[in-house]
Amino acid sequence: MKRKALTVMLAGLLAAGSMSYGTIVHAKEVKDEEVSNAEDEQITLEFINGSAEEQYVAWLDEVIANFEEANPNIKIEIQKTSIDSFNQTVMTRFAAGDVPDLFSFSANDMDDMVPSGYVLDLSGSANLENYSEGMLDSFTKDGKTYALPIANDFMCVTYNKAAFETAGIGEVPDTWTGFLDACKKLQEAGIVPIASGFSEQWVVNGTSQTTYCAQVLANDGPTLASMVDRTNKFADTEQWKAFFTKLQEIYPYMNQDPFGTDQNTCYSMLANGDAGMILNGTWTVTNATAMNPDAEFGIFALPVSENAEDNVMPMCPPESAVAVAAESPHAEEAVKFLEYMMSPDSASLYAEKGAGIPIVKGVDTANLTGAFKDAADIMNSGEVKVISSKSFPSANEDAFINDVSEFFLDGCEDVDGALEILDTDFDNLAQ
Amino acid sequence: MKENKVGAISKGILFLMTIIFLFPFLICILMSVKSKQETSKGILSLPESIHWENFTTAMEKAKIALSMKNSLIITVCCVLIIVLVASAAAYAIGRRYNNRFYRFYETLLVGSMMLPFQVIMVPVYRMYKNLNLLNTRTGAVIMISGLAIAYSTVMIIGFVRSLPLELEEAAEIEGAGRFHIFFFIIFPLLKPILATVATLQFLSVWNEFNVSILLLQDEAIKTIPMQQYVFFGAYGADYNTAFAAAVIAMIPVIIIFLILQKQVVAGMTAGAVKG
Amino acid sequence: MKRFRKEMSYFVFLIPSLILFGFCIVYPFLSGIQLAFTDWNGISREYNFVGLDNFVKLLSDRNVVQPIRTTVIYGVGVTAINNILALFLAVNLSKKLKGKAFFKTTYFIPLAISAVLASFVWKYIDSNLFSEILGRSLMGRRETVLIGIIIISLWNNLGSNVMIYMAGITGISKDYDEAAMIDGANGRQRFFHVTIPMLMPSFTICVTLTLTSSLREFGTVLAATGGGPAGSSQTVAILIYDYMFKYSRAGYAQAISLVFMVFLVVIGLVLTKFFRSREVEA
Repeated sequence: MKRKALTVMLAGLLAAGSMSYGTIVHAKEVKDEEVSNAEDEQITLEFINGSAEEQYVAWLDEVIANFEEANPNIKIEIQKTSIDSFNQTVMTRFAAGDVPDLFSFSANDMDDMVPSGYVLDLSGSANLENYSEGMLDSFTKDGKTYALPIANDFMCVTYNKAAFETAGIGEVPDTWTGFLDACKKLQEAGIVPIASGFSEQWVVNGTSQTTYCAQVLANDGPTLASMVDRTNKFADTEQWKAFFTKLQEIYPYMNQDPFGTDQNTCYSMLANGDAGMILNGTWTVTNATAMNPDAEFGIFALPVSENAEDNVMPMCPPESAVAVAAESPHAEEAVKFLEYMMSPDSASLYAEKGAGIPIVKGVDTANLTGAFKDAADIMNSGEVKVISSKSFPSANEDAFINDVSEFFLDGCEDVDGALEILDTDFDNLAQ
Repeated sequence: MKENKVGAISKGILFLMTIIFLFPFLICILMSVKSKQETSKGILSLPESIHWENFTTAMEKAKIALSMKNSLIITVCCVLIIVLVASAAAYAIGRRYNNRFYRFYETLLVGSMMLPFQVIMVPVYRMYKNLNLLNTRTGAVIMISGLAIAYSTVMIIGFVRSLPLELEEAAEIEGAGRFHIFFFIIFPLLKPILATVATLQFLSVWNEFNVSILLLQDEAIKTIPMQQYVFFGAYGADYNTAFAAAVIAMIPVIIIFLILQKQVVAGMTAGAVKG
Repeated sequence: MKRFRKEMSYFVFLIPSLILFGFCIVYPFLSGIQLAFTDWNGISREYNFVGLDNFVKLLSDRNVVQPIRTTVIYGVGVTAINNILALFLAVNLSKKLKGKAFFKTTYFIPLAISAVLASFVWKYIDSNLFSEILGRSLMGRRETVLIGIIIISLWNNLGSNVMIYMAGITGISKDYDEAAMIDGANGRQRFFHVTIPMLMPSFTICVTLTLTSSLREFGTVLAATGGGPAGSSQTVAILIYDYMFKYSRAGYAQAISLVFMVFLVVIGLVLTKFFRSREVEA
């Protein structure tokens, strides 16, 4: 009896399993195909993409189509991942030795992935010539460059031109007094001066970055790295104190209950003219445009100084890029694709698609409109201040976001207290 | 008299809760037929016209036809395996509850339900890579079922224990084997709980994300929940299309629910006749 | 020999379960456990054994205090409210009722919606409607954020407990109820002396599982608040995830998970034992 029972049990299991057996056979066939095609040098490159932005994906799809047309023997296979699962995917795959050929890469990955020997050195690439001095710093270590970026998102004020008009703001403010004045005018016109969707943590960070890039990093303040390794203390730094004072001053001009508002709502407020400004990255333009394609936006540097000439756009080297895995069996082809992806042609397409502001030299910016044209003009004019990295390492960043949030939630009253808490938290992390 | 009053109050609360529960669902539907611009006009604003294109965009971008097929195959296989394996195990444990070994195994099962998936993620990935099970439906089915049997088994044990022994003993005297007893006596009696287990597992496998994202990275075998993420970027999301995708993905789930609910009811009446 | 055969006839039923369990859980768990004693950063293929360092560090880690507090409040809150509401609904939906299928489906539908979208809908309601009614949104404040997340979780998950309780009630033989009725028991007495004891298997499941799964809460919180504002809704599960994938301290994350798991297992076992001992065995 028992043997029968066992047999039937196993039969049941097998029956259920056999429904998916087709997959195994199929998978094997594909593998055989790959092997046989390899002789005809048919190659498939796997690219784990962590950037799910609508315009970016549309651009990437077209770049791949163009590349595959020019290189019929190479096929690019995109692995789409959401921002949340990207890290997890990349980490498990590298840890298990199942590496992709290309992958999205952020400046934060330098410390973990480069020492493990996972990232291919791109120093020989001719593409390096396409970047201005210092723009590859985030991806360079010991004179070797490990990743290539397409765009440079920088932190700025994005404003709705119609809203400024309604409030009677003739010119973009270029001093701090002017800025606060503009806020006041907007408020009097019944428009929310600054829309902040702090219910999403990265927005707290974005607004802070906009403020500290201008107030600290572009203002002869210490680098973030020196705050992390505790060479400098927040409480002892004038610029950081001023950073909190600035937040204190703009807080009354934010929407009611910023921590109960998400950024999507803020994009639509800005797009519909219910809000005047957003303090965050240049991607604000892309997202707000999607909410109302008819609205016109502009960008400017947060004018932290009373001296108009000092308020130039702070710009740090790009922090997200694409890299090639050192262990990729098709590294040569992967580099070929990467070079094509970051070529001036592709970069022009990037601008055309409205995905952002390309950083690659020799890009045709004639097609740019609105705020992107502003941004390109700013970049081309050279009226920028090149600053050091704008991002803390993840653990410090999270502590920083928490402390700044506390500061806002407590009504922006205790500047000294906020500096002190930051120092304590950073001390703990440094241990 | 008093009981009527209690009944009326209960009914009132029931209706109120039902309305509260339905409200967000209506917003989901509303979101799925609005354009981005219309969404920005307010939570309850109605669209000027129904934006069916959200659904077509969703179908295309999230590859819904393909991922729905994958999800269905994986879910059906998993549910079958889970119900079979778990009810068999629960039967053995429930009937041998005084035996230390079975009790210990139950303890292990309960313990395993507390396992944070991150703990076994890397080992599982390595193991699957070595066994060539990555990016196969078979592999996903095995892992998803394996992680779900504990929950289902623990759920059924209690019900097995509450079943009367007499029927089994009678059958045994008549010479029926254990296998016969299980399939022809126990299984029908467990129908209501098994239908519940099946429904709940159908749902949790349908929505399964952790294992799928780890083991199914090939675009061709991705499941519905994974594809729903394509609408979420780092700085913004395309919620209208995301909801359209969610609404489409919900349809098979609701159909299955209604079918299985019929089973629960049928099982109840059948059990009543036999008992 | 006969006894052995009988014993084996039961054991056979356990074999498929043992195989799956061993393959999917025991083996990966045992091969992953060693990582808790290393300084692994989560990605490199080399790491050093550091003994009990990670566990010692955990004892003095200030960062874990707030998440533990949040997790306990959230877990107990969700479990209590979820089970009371689910039992209430199950009892009422088991009565004769017009449009029963409609009601049941209503509570079931949210189960089919992912945590991300459920969080989005409720965030939307929170910032547009609750803020109008209450003056401020629930999830924008440190004091009330957990209430908001509990509401999302209830909406999203209540249906499964309703179903389990309903299955339990359906399984109660009408005979018991009728016998009690003949004995002159009123509705309330019948509920407490017939329904509740017969529902013990359902309690075992619902209470244990709701508690342990809400203590491991991850998706809803991540989607609704990302742990904010100011870390006030960060749970232990999110902390582990952060250490693992964001802060490159996978060895330490593994150590926290291990301690956390032991804690959960103890709770789970105590609860199961408590309820199982009250189950009626036929």
